[in-house]
Amino acid sequence: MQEAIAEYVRDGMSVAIEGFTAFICFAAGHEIIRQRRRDLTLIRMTPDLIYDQMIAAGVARKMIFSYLGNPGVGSLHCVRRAVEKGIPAPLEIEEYSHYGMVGRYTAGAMKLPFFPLRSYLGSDMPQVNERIRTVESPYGDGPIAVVPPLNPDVAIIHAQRADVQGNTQLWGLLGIQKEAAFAARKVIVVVEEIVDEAVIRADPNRTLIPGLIVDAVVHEPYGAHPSYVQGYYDRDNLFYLNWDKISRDQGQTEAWLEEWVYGLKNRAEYIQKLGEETLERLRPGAAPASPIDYGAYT
Amino acid sequence: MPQPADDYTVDELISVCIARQLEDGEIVAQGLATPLVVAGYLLAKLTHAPNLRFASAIGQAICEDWAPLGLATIEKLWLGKALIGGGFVRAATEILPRFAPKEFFRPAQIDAQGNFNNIAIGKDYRKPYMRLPGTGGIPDVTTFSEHVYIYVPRHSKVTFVERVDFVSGLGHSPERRRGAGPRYCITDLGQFDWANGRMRLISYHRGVEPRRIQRRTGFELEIAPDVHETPPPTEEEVRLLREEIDPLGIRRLEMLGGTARKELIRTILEREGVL
Repeated sequence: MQEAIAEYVRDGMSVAIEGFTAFICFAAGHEIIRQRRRDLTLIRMTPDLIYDQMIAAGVARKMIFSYLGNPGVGSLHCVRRAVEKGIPAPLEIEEYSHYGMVGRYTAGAMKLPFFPLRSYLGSDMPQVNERIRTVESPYGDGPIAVVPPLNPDVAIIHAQRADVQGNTQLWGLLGIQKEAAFAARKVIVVVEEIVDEAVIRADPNRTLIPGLIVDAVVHEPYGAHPSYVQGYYDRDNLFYLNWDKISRDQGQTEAWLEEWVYGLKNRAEYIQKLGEETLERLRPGAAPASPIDYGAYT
Repeated sequence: MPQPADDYTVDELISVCIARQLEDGEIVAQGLATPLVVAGYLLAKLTHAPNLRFASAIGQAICEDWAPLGLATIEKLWLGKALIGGGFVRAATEILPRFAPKEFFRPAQIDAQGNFNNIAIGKDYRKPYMRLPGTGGIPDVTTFSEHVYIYVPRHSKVTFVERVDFVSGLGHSPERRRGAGPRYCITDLGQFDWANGRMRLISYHRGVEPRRIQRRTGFELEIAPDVHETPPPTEEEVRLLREEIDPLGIRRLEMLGGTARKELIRTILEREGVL
């Protein structure tokens, strides 16, 4: 992880650590904080705790998003502090709706100049974000809103498993990870397990991201804690609840960052500090899918 | 005849009113952390709408089966019961346009025309008084849907304002090109519609004076000619909510703010065996 972040995430870049409630790569976010990156543009449809932590640590200049929150708990206090009070530094924001972000990533991946949507017309969104514009439909359907393509410098995607080439399989809440990876200039994949290529080949429909577009593969078990990886570990709800309290105060937040990020060398130390008891608490039950038969073509 | 309940709380009444807005065979959508709405949807499914289907941008899935409300396992319905789980792109480009599901939104501010705001409170967008979560799917759905419904768990002048600071959800506005403004609103004080393009009181809850509703609304309310007391839940509806759908009382989280809310979250997580 250390190498991947040092190599691909530089000051001033735009970075998308995607994932929707699951598969959120806290390990990568923490490594970015530890390496003290600055002036990043953070991109994600649904920013949650990891961006709250990164913003409190001062790594970001700007955020592009469609919905913010500590899921099920409440506000992101560090984001609010940055936007409302400029603490620790002002944060520029560029906001869209969910479909707007889907359109932006999709246009980015498809190399289209814009993506048309039935959204926005009549709302104040084009006033608060001048990149949301309107064109006249060439087919006579009247005005239609458009959003520009989004091509992050780096996308960081957490998944269940990949082979060493980065052929990545992910199941569960798919989110927008595939589109973010195809739209990005560089792709870092972080997985719970590295598997043999034969495992990937046995079930190619489950491959979300081909190794051909992957620049770095990081093996980082529990790298998404406190979020979850379906079939591997559950969400650590207690952490989300505690974060609400910690994050209300910049001093407490910095103390937490000191203890859990700056004070640790890597994710392995974080997991060790977290302790076996917590990991046991988060162990999910099993619910395997029925095997399917692809047929033998050898 | 179903027996009207005497013992019910306002959160239960809100979920019951939401359930009564649904028809059998419909497809409904929901946002994250909206337990009053989910409880209402499940109540409809267990009573008059057994063929209700759930589509969700959140679960990025379609479900027919249901599960009781959980907090630790908030995605149980979507992860454990989905018929299709397709990701954000399929939710936005296939599921939502194809089914145009009915959805209940919870605005931070709403005006008499039903325009609503989840962007920020304050006049200066760059330096707002309060940064809100953002719009999610609201400007995607409200610009073309015919099925926008509203709920406000705590009716006050903070939410019902003369003029919203930013329009994220489009109401009964001359700017509208497609679809319709909100059809219905339920709060902890009463039920409302927009029969004439302006918010109108159609019923007040037990023990609530219509004058009090007006006092807690930042614009002049229209009053329906046949304004009446909100019909109470039935005993069976209350039982289903308490025993089958939401035994942990997660719906009550939406009625609370601040410390009381955090304490209830902690209590629920304890009861779920997470803490």
